Amino acid sequence: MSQESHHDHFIVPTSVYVGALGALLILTVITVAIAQINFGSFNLIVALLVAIIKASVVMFVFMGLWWDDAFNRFAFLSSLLFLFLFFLFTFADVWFRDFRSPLESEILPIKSPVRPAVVGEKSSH
Amino acid sequence: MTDTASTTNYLNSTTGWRSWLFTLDHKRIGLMYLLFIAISFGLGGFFALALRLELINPGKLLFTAKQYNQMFTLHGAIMTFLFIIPSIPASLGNFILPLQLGAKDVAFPRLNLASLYIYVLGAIFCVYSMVAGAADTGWTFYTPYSSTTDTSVISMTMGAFILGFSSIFTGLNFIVTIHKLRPPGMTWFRLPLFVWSLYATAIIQVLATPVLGITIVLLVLERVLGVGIFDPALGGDPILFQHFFWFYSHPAVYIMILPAMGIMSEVVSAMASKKIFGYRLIALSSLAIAIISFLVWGHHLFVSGQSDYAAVIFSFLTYLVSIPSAIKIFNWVSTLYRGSIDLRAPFLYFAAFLFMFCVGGFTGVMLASLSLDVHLHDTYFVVAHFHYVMVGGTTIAFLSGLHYWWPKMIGKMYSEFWAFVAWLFIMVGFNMTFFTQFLLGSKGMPRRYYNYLDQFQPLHAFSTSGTWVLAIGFLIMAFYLIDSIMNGKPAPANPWGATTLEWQTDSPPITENFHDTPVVTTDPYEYGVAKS
Amino acid sequence: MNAPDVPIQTHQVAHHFATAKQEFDSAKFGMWLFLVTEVLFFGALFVAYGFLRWRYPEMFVEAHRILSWKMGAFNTLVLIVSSFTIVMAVQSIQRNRQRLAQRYLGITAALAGVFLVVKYFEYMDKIHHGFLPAKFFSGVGVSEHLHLFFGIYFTMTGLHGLHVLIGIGLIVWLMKRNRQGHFYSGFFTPVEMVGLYWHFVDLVWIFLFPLFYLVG
Repeated sequence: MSQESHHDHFIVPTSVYVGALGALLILTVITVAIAQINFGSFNLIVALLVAIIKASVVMFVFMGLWWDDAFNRFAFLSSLLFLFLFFLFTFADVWFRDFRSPLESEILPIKSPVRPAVVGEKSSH
Repeated sequence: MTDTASTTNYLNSTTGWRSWLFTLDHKRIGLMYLLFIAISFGLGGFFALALRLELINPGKLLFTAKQYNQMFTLHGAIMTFLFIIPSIPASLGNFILPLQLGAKDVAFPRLNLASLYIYVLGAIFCVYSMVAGAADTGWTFYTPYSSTTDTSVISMTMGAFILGFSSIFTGLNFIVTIHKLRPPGMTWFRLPLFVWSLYATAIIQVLATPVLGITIVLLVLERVLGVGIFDPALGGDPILFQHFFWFYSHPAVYIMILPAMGIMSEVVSAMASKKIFGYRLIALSSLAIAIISFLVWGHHLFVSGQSDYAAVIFSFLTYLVSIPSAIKIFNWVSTLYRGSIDLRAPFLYFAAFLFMFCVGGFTGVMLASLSLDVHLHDTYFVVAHFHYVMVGGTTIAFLSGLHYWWPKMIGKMYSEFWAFVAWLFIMVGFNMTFFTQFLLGSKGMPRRYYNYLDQFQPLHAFSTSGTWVLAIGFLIMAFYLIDSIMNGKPAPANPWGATTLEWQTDSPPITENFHDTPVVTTDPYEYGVAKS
Repeated sequence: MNAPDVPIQTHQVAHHFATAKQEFDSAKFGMWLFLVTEVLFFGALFVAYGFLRWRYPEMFVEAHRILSWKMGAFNTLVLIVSSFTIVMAVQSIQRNRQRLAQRYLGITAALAGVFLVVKYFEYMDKIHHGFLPAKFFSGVGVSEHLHLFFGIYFTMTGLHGLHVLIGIGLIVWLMKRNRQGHFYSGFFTPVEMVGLYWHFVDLVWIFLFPLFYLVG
């Protein structure tokens, strides 16, 4: 099968790319500037938000996801979703590690039949 | 055209070892994978026989405790990474997927060949690690033992790391193939169910395997640089390793079972000559399993020290993931109703699967219960559960598919008599070995133990003798399959009277698969009215 | 549409594809799937980072001051500009401006080189002061677990740097093929694919920079 002409490639105008570059440079300045301001416990969230905006510009403009097949968008964004689930469930463990259910704090008067075996002894199972 | 002996097909169209080593033909690649997978199964099986032999009596028989630890590690790692994960997708999947799609090849044939080379490279690392002081950590490599033991953890885990890429590339290739290379008329809901299952499997391969890769990188760095992320003495958390490891390894077991279920859908429909019951539900349940499988990994950590809240969430989700599997079971059984059942080898293995996968599945649901798991975790009950699903499920389904597609791949028929004999040995041997282990586990026998209390000895001995029966079954199978290559009856294009596209071309197919590109106008399982 | 400004070798569509569009769309989809695997690969490291930062917040605040935010910011700008230059290279090929594309590719590779040189100086400084993973740690600091920060720092930036190095190799390969006239308006798939890879490398750094250099 021989080659065909460039079918229906949409060529993104240079001005769009330059605009994106400009936005990213400004956002990088904002990234550094905003780190000087103390938002308390929201510091991390603010930094991540700015990073997400920058990442979105790279993804949608430079990587062309805006004009691309919908499924490519879906595939890439799904991977971020699964990553988020990894975070979520791992932190569901780590964050609540030290919480104890009230039941566990009670000492119940149950005598366990288990005790260390003596050498040569046979279990009654 | 069904005459195979004298016509040109993919096996004889080009000759010489270079035409195989550098082939881009998915059928040849699938066949080579089949050979390597069979060898890996033999190697992993050898370690299984050896370790069960050691366990026939308490105390030392032939091996020291450390050697025993190395043997069960090698058995687990080889069976998981070299055999079962690639088994169906890389061999049968590679061969059959383009055929069922009426395509000439997968989307990226060179990537396919690269996957094969990468598999071989990973296998070499694993074999090297065997001789360089085999790891004794268990295939799960839990820290901090794995980050401090003096055995060759790094070479074994690097082998697994490399094998992971083989798996990723196969999955990537299949997803693109299924999306982009379907023939005219083949809409998504006209795909064969084997294709659906490979698609769901590929999603897991692509999303989960990289996390295993990073886990291994972190473990290696932990050993070499002492990073400390998993070491409590340095401020790290060993349970974090378990989260990382099982984020891949739980979805991995669905990489193992989903293609097996796909094969079962194909075989039941063909061997009952009946349209599959509930096609859409089976297709969508494959996707559901793939997605939910990512949300249950913490059930491996119930007694490791994770938080109660996480444990409860994981327990609930684990119950949930059993539902799509159950849907499939109902649909397969319903397909049999009023079907005209052909009792040849593929169906025998289907029947075996139905029974043994249910046992494995039910016991999995038992283990999902937090209270039961406290008693059963790290006992032989768990060992029995996963062998029922992995061997009784995946391996049995793999054998079903192997026999079902053997005529297509090799162009020869195997002996049904010897197939039945082997099946009997495998059924009896498997259940002897592993049903016993449910009993052992519920009585308290811990897993991975070299020594044990005397009262467990009769059950252990019985289980060990079961492995010999199993081994005989597989040896018989090796003999009649190899014999069929040389002496088997030439196979017709469609020995089972099945309707999917791979049966509408020669056995074995020509290199380009089809003489003319098929156009699809019907659903894949139009068998007409079932005979009563 | 201009005529190409170098002699062109026309691309043959592979035998198992029906059309050039099917081949291009498949390659692009395949590349996005590969990037999905990279998201999970690097992403898992971010989970490890998240765990450590959540466990030892003050240690992270102390540790990040040892890094130079100026060098980090400079590297961020370098990568962002290189993302621009590589997408301009793709666009140039689409317009049959092969010579212009060659220049854009060259600038991209040079910027990547600058990134690695800066990283080299950063690493040397840390090594010199002993701010290394636990086994080799000898740095001076208040927090008890500083080695954990540097363990994850070297792991993540090291893996990222490895991807930058591989990217340079890929860009050089593109430049060689471009000079041979392989790329033109009707076929530029490899350039686009390497471009996507390169943007992903930039994406990872966009997150690494604030998370390591601008904590607190």
